[in-house]
This record gives sequence, structure tokens and C-alpha cells, in this order.
Amino acid sequence: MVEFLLLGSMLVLALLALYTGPLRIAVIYFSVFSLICSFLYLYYQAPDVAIAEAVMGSGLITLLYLTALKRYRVYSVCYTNTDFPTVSDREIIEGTRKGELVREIEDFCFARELEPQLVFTPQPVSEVLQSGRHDLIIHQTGDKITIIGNRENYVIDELEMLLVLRYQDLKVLVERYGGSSEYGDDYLPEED
Amino acid sequence: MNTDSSETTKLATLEQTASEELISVMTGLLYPFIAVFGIYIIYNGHDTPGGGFQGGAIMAALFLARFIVAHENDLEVHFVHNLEKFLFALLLIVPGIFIFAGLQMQFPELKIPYLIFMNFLIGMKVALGLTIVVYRFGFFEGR
Repeated sequence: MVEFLLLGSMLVLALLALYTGPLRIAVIYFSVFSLICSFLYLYYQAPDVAIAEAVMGSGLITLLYLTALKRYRVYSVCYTNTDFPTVSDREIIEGTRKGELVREIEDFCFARELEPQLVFTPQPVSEVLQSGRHDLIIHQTGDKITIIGNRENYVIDELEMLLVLRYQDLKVLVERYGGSSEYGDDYLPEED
Repeated sequence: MNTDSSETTKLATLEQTASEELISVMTGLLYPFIAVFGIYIIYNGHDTPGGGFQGGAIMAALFLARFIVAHENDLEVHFVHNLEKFLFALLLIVPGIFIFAGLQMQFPELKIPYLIFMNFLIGMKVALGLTIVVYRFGFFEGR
């Protein structure tokens, strides 16, 4: 009975690890999979292998994968503004408060050794969302700034915390898109 | 503008350290237990489950816990690498002397100390090897 329970949960965890979008969560699923695997070895009276599996599988391998995720470096940011058909760089580079936001994201990337790749586009945001290539989309209509992060990139959680803390005076909304949508609804752009 | 951006960077790192403090304190508490468990497994490897490899992997977790906490490249990888090579040489020489020089036949009571010593050598070699792997991966490998 215990055996089948463990084997079944191993199967479930293996599938979860395969089909989970955010990689950090998938790594944790894999780690739990290893832990159960190690318990199963113990159940089959192979304590030697169980110790090795517990240490390697759920300890070192998890650490290695998490370190590898930290090196997920190029961070592609897309800036869309439908109000102006041609985007002026000046507002971003010179010191307006909104321009500061982009600079803030660049500094954030610098602190985490990410390589920001900024793209400016006059395309409507729904088209950019559909392409799904960008890790972060900054969408501005008038005064309202919406930041839409790709769920598959875990950096958005940290960035959200920082932005919400620092930019309470600006109307900054942080939304998610992409990945598997079981973690909440996707951001739907308003038609304007 | 410049001062502001450096401030932002500082803030970002500050938040990071604040969230990492919990992990570092807990890992600091776990340090001695990991060490004792690793040594126990190596020391009793010859007659209970475990042995050099398993104990060595646990000892490697000790170094790697340090890697998580400090995140500084203050381990001299070259020194560790040379030490590992030296251990490997010792690993070949000791059984050579013990078995082929006939000490095993002359002193049968030395068998258990010999096994413990060999397990210890293997454990140290595995621990240093795994530490090098993760440190190299963490600090040196490019994008």
C-alpha cells in the first residue's frame, strides 16, 4: 500500500516537474521527487543508495539547477507606447519620473547581473503579448503604466516588490502573462 | 541621477540580503549537524550503511551551504584542486602499500583502521571534488 502510494506520488511529481512553467518551481518538484525516491530505496532495504540519493538528488542537484537559473541572463524588456507613433528616447533617458522607471529596471538588472535588452515599439500591446518573446513589457497609455511580466521568468516577483515599494506615487500596475495560466489569469489589454 | 541609481542598486542588494538573512542563520545553525552526520557516516561506513562516497557528499553539502550563505568567491579553488590530486595519489598509494607489501597478512588487526582511513580519504576526495564542481559552475563559467 505504502509502496504504491509512493510510486504514484513519484509519477505525479515527475509529470509536475516536466509540465510546470516557472522553472524554479519545477526544480523544487524535482527535489521532492528525489526525496521520495530516496525513501523508496530505504523501503526496498537499500539504505546505502538512499543516503546517496538524498544527498545528491535533493541536495546538490537542486543547488546546481538553482545556480544555473541564476545565470539565466539576457532579460528582454519591451517598451510600448501607443500614444506616440514614434517613441522618443528622450523621455526615457532624461530624468522624468517615468523615465526613471526604465532606469530603475536597468539598475535592478545590473544588481542581479542580468543583461537588459531594451526594445522600443509603437505596436499595440496585444500584438507584443501574442509574440510572447519578451520577459517584461512596459506598456504606457497616458499616465498609466502597466508592467507585464512573463510568468516563466521568476525575476518578475522580485521586480514587482521593488517597484511597488518605490513607485507608489506613479500608477504602476504589475501584471503577468504567458506560461501556464493555472497560476492566475493572463493580463488582457484594453482596446483603445 | 547617478547618485539616485547607485542608491537603487544599494536598495536592491539590501532587499536581497534581508531575505537571505533567514537562510544564512538557519544554515549556520545546521553547520555542526551536517559536519557530525558526515563524519559519522564516513567513520561507520565499513559496517553500517553509508561510506566514503555518501559521507563525502554530505561533507560537500557543508561547503556548498557556505556557498549559498556567503556567495563570495573566497575559497582558493586551485589549492582545493591540488589537495584533491594529492588525496587521489594517496588513495592509490595506501592500498598499494597495505595489500601488496603484505601488511594485510602480517597485521590482521589493522584491517578496520585501514578501512576507516580509506573511507576517510574517499570522503575527502568526493567532498572536495563536488565543491570544486559547484564553485566552478557558480563563479567561473561564462554565459
